[in-house]
Amino acid sequence: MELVGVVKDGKVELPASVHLPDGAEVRVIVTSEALAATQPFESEPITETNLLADIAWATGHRFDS
Amino acid sequence: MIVVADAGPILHLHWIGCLSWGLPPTPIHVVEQVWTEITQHAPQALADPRLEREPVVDIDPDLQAKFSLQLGETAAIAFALKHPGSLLLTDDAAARRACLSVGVVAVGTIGLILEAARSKRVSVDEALRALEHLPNKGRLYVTPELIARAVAALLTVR
Repeated sequence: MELVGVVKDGKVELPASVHLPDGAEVRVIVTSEALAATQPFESEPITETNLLADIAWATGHRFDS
Repeated sequence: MIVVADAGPILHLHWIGCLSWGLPPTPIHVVEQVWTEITQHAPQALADPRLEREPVVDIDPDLQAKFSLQLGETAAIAFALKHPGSLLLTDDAAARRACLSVGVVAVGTIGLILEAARSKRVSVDEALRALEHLPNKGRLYVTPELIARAVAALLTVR
C-alpha cells in the first residue's frame, strides 16, 4: 500500500479516508515536487558525444526489425 | 537483444508522458537497485508491463569507483555485462563513459525518442514535442543547443 501525505506546519496530513492501523510501518520519503520540477535528474549534462552517439544509434537501429 | 534500463530514461519519458511509445517494445530488465531508485521518484512509472524486475545484482566496486558511478548505474552495467549483447538505456554521462570502457552499448532518452519516430511508433510531431519537453518537464540535463541538434536529426525522418 502506498499513500501520499503532505507536511504542513511540521505535521503529516493524510487524506481523511486513510486510517493507519496500530503498528503499521510507515516509510517516509521526502520529496518536493516544486523543487523536483526545476532540477535536472542527472548530475552531469548530456554531452555532444552522447548526443551524436544517440543519433547514430537511432539511425542504424530498429527495435521492431 | 536484452534491454537493461537505468532509472533516467524511464523517469524522463514518464515525466513527459511518453513512456508508452518511448520505451522499446520489448521486455526491459530493471535491477532491484534501479527499481528502488525509480520508486523514490515516480513509482507510477514502474506499472509499465514491459519492465521486468530483476533481483539485486552484485556490483563491481572498482568500476564504481573508477567512474564515480551511483549504485543504480553500477548495478545496471553489471547486469548488462552478465548478458553479452545487452543494450543499456541510460542518460548518466559517467555510466556512458563506463559502458564505453567495458564494451556495453548504451543509448539515452534522446536516442530512444529518435528511434521511436524512425520506427513510426510515434509521429514526428509528437516526438518533436517530447524532445522540447525533455529539459524542463522531463528534467533531462541537456542544453537547448543539443536539443536543437536532436530536433534537426528528427526532422530528417520526414
